[in-house]
Amino acid sequence: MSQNDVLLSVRDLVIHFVTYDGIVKALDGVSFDIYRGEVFGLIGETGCGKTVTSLSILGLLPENARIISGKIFFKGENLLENPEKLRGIRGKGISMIFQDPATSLNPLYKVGDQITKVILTHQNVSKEKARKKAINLLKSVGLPDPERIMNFYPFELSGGMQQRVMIAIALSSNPDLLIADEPTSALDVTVQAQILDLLKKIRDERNISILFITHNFGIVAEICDRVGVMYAGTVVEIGSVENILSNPMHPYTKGLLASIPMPGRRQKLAIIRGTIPSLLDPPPGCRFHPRCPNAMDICRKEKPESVEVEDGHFVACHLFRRGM
Amino acid sequence: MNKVLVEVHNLKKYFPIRGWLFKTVGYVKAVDGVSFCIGEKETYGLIGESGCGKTTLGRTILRLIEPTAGKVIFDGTNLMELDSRELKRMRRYMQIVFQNPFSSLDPRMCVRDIIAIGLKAHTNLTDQEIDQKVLRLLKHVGLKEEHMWRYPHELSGGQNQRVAIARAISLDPRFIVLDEPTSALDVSVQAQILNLLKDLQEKLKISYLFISHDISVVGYISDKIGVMYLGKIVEEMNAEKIWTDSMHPYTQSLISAIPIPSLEMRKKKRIFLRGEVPSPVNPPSGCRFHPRCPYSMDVCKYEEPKMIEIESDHFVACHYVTKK
Repeated sequence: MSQNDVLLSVRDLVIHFVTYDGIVKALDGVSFDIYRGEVFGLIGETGCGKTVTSLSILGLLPENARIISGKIFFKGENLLENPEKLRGIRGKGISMIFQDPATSLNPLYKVGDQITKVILTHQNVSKEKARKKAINLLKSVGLPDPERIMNFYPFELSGGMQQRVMIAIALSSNPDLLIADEPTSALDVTVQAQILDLLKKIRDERNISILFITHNFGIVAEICDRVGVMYAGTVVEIGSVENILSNPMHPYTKGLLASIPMPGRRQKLAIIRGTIPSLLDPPPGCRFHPRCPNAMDICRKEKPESVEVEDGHFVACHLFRRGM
Repeated sequence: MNKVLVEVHNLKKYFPIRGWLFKTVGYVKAVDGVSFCIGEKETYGLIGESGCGKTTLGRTILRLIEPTAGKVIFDGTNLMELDSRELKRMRRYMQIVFQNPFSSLDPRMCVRDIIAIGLKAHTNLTDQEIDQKVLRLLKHVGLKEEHMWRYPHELSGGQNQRVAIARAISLDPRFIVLDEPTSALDVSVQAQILNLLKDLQEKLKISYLFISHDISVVGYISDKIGVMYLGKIVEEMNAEKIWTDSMHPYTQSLISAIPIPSLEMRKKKRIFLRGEVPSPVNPPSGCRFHPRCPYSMDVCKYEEPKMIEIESDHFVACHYVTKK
């Protein structure tokens, strides 16, 4: 893929949070690219910074967050330099769906009003036309009888249907990038399968890019084209899903994959020893070194650089230092 | 097969729905005639989606919720016939671990007191003996002496779940209900807890009822698996065979819906279920699964299928399967 196809590019993003306990070093130099028309997954465990990354793209970080350094390019423009530009992009060029649809929809307004409001905000159309558009959107996300659903309040819909409404709202202004932050974690597996299928269909039909945030490697295998693995505020490995699943290189990715119970495998699960470090006082050097089975001296001192080990497969680990 | 420890016979729990002036206007049939056995040192896995009644079933077996009808025979004693004094005496042999350790551990008690609570209620140990016993229990579950005087908020989710497990095994129980013990945890921590539970079972010879919505986890840890749908068990089989030999259309669709982190699984064909789980207030007539079932026939609408032994130790309740 050529450089022209890059839609979003995050470069060396460093974000700290100021709290009463001290400074939480949430992101420590996060970089990745998202190409047009691809589903890029960010996977990691609780507190690894995947949600912070996604919020920073839209400028939705809480007040105590400080962007220390880094750049976020969307269609070649640095979003961090032009905060006023972001207003036009948010909800239009980039839109977002969240984990729990029940809390992201306003319980006091009818579903139809919530969709038309977004359309009226971003597009110069009449109310009548906005309503028609909303009905079409509801139809396109697979909701039966969309005209009736327009008059429903969110509580009258099931979790899966609410998430479909959220997706309809997110798609209302034809965004180039959809950020999906654990969109299926609150749903049952059978409903999750339906929503994942819908997102795949949307990607194919509209050729939009999706940044898919999840903690579930199964979902990554299901829907993503490329994936970045995050650990304690750093991206440790990036590659195509095929590369990462069949040839994981970073010890954390390896450990994570080995700790998942798989069909038919009954032998003892491999585990990553220890627990996630506190980001108030993250380990020096490579942040994974206290838990890493291959830790060397250099890992305690020096932060590993991201190295391309095979085509499009980047690993940030001293085991794969340049020239080795 | 091992000697049977827990026998559940036609257990039912209906929650009344109160209307005007507290008149009962209907029932939520959370558990509706469930029977199964758990052998000694055996793990019985119970899977199902949210609202299928699996948690209610777990609690009703221990009489934390009083059942509407049915029997539970624990080592020859019918628990439902015991008065409160006798029940209390039995309680030390049956314990439970809940899903969310942050809400099942008292935030005002330190780890030592949390674990000691059962010991104080059921034994005459002195404070010093309790301290020693707690220390031994902490080591059993992989914690250290330093954790003894900490409070739950100072520990991570995985550590808290270890405390909850230590509390559950403090009185040398013979049976533990594990109600989604790893759902609130990250995968790498989940692996640690699953391994711990397996080790403890071997050392202490405990039987488990493992309740979960995650078929990979249940498939990994269980000996036998029961699949629940709307208050009923629809299929029961050996855990090793669940990935290959399941027969009920619901089990098969659950298996096909779960995203699995492997490349081969990416290409598999999905069985999509229509709609979502219906309400247990007015469950569908006949087979409760028929409105979502891809193979539903006329007979499914009016006749409830019986549990039939298809092969040894493999029971299915489905007209379609028995007809074949």
